[in-house]
Amino acid sequence: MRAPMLVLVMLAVSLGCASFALARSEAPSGAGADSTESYWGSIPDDTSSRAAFTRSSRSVEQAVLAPFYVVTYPVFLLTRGIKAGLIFGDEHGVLPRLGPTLPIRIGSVQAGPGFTYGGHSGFGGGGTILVDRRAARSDWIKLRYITTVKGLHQGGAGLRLPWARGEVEAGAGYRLERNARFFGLGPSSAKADQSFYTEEQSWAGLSYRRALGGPLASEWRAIYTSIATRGPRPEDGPGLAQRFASSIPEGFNKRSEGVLSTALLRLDTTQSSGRPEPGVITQGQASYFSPTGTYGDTFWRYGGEAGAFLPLWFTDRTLAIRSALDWTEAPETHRIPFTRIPTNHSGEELRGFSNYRWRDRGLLDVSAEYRWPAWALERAHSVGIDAYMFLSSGQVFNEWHEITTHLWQTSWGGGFRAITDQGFGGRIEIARSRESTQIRLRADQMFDFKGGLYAGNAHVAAPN
Amino acid sequence: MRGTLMSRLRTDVRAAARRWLHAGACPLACAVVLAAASPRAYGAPLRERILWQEDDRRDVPAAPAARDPNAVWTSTNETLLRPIGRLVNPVRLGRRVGTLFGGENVHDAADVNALGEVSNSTWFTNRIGLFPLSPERVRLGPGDGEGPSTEGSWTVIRAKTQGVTPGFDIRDVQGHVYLIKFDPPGELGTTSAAAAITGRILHAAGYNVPDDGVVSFTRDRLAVAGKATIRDARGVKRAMTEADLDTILGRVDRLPDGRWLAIASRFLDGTPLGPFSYKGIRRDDPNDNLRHEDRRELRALRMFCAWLNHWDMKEQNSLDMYVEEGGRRYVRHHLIDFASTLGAAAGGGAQPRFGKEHTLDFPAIGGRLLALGFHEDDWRRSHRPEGLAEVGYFESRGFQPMEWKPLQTNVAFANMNSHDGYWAAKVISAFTDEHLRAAVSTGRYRNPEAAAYVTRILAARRDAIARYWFDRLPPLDFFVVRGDAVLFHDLGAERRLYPGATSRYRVRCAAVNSDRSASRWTEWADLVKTEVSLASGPAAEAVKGAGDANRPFLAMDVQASRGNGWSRSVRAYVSRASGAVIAVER
Repeated sequence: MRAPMLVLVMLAVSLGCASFALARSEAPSGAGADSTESYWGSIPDDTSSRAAFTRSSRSVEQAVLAPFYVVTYPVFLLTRGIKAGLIFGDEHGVLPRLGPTLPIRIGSVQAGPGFTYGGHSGFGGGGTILVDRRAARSDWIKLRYITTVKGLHQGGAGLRLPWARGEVEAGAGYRLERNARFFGLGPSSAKADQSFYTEEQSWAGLSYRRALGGPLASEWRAIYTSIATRGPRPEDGPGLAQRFASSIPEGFNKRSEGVLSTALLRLDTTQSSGRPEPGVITQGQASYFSPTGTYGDTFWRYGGEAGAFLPLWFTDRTLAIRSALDWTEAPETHRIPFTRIPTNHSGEELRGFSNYRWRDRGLLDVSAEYRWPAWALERAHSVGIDAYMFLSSGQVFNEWHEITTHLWQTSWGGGFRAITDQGFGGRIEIARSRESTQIRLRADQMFDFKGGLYAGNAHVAAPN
Repeated sequence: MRGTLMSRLRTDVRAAARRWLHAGACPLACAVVLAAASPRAYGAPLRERILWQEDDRRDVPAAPAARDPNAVWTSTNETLLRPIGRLVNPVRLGRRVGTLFGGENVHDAADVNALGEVSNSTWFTNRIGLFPLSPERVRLGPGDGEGPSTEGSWTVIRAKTQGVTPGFDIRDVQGHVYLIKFDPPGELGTTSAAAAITGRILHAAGYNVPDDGVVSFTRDRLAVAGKATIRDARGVKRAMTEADLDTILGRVDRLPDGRWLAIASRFLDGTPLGPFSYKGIRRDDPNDNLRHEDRRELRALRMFCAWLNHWDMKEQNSLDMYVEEGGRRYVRHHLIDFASTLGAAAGGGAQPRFGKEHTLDFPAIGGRLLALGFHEDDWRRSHRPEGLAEVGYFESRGFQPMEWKPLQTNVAFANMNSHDGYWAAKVISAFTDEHLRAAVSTGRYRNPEAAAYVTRILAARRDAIARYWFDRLPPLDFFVVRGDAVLFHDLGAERRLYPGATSRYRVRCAAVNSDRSASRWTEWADLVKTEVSLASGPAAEAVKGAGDANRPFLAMDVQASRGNGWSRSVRAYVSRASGAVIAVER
């Protein structure tokens, strides 16, 4: 039985091969000799096979598209404008120079633009000037100024120098915020109680940072700070004094001056500022405030934060987590201005709430940010844009036992982070909470120490 | 009560319809109608005459103006603005709706004859797609395949030092001028091989390309001409010295034996007029009458680029030349600069992303955002082949022809429809492994395994493209009348794209008039081979009783089956008067 079957199979196979071979020999894909006979047969090379095309006006299509063209004519004009601008910029050397030009560098001095959007201050811009140390090719003087359309002015100057196996920083700054806000103290304050005031800060100080081995470093700081509050501009209302007439917070309409002395221990194992994957970033600090003016009392401030970048699956997927705690410790009888107690003033804590929304002696914040690449210019791990989603929750509290689930605030959102050749380039995010939506455009990033006095950030309110 | 409700409903519907029409649905509806009613290239009245030559070599006494499109604007326009324009264009939207009902996304190409072939022109000359071509002919390419003459020295006449890869122009003893370009640092042999191989393949396909060849030489082969000039890093032109040449040569990698390896690209004949645009026409060229985006060879070039991973396809990599031939002056259109192909990058730094995404690829970005990072892009997992330093990111794993993307797309590529894709697949699948080996041999890979690898990947990508289109449009082609039968080819079977599958065919016929209308179709009849008898069977039945005057043409629908049902029909028209196949529809 098997033998006839085998013969039949062999016959079928051989017939199949034979027919295939036949087809192959006639196939119009042969790699044999050149031929002028086409697969369609001979092709005449005379006028019978030749024709010239005429230009088509596509009149019917144009007629159908006419309303579309009319409607989109402004867009067309806009594209013509873009075209003219790009060509002019390119051919006159503006575009090719733009990249190397920003920041502008003259010798050891470089200057670049800065920008901000979001929070109370609205859109704003400014600039930064850096001066390099020629030998070390690292910046050592930083001047920074930014102003916004809603009346924020902030300027700072920083100096960084190596000294005694460590690094010394000196800095001074000024910040005027005309539409700062106060919603009341404590985790139960209401959004409806929003009130405005003007806050004016200035600071000057010195710090010394020293590596303790590996990624561990310590820092000591002494900063003179001055903070004054007063009523808002006429167009910003209601004022704090009107809204909280019966319970004016401590320190309003006063100037608080003093020296804030801080000791800090820091652990930072991250390698890159643009797209750090593995690494831990942790610090703890204790500060003591001693007033120098006629108003105010002493207090202690403790702050700590712990963050980590956890590489996840695939490439550049990272979970960034961070928890931060700030606590102001002082006897009940001590006068501590409301402007010196912790608040979410920087847009980094409770990100879905407006700046200054929450204030009290303590602030606890937990954030988790999941990042993944959305676009790459050329390759992975390089220039591109990452998307992220985050959860930012926490609460303020006057006593530790007030940390409860029903006072716990949660916000969430997402955004995009730009990664440049030099590292982190900026971010735009939208954050949502039960009571507001916040859009922020920032050149600084979350999950990073903002630098000390040198960076020129405000050093008055906590956390910082 | 009910009457009132119905009355209100009618009123509401009328109001909604009015709003809809006022809101712009009217142009959209018109576009849909236009899309459906627009004439198809294959639907024109049947004629005996078949267009094989586009008459675009008529004398143009005055040279058209040279184009110098701004690269920044071109890139912005093609990457950002034009894709958005295409997305909201009502006619395209209408056609996209039409694809749900079997229509084409774009109207058919205009330079196609009734058989579905591209006519020869100053853009394209049918070669391997229409004629048997020897591997040797593929290897030779547009010239003799040998590069500059090795007799005597090469005189350096000018040089450039800008850019990642410096280069210079030389004149050989025969007077031919060549551009000598080097591989980027660390990529010795990669881009030069890619340029030579791709040039050979595109030429064999039918495109106009320069004669590029890989050359190696020693320092004593070169001599700087007395009047040679050099443009330095700041763009300043000055006299060139032997020291300048040494500086240039010192910047590029050398072979182990100390020789330099480079690509020698022979200057094209004629006067350069700059690149052509993939959209519109060159208005000052009276021969240029078809919109470039309507040219099949430019639309289908997308598939050739996918095959060769020509990711840097942009109009700056084309060149129009004002040439004189047989006493006539006209513009000839070329593709140039193929160093950024086969996974290589002319400027160095080849990346696996090239060929997988546009520079700004909004669908890909959107997909990644929606996927929330839980899907990894294929290109992030790509690697260069192990141990083959001369080969870039060139692979066949996961290759999907329609998912291939150049960094910068263009209107012609966006206009490619299934007929263009099928045509490209037909030409590409005409390359046998022997042809590919011949083309790859011009790359002069030092490692034979690199040559074998590139050949293997080219063959696999060729088959992927052919299968993709042949699965959608049956590859029954080249219908010819021989004696009393119509013979045709099943390219899928003949080019071994369906291994293990048994192919069957069936046919039905009808007598038709010149506007292709038939009175009656015969029943389907199985065929024993790729041949339809005209003397018996459906063909004879169809013409029986149909007067030659009323129904002068015979239409035959042919279908193929490879075990998974019958394919769509391919319809061939035979003139009963001339006994020739005069049109094919698919």
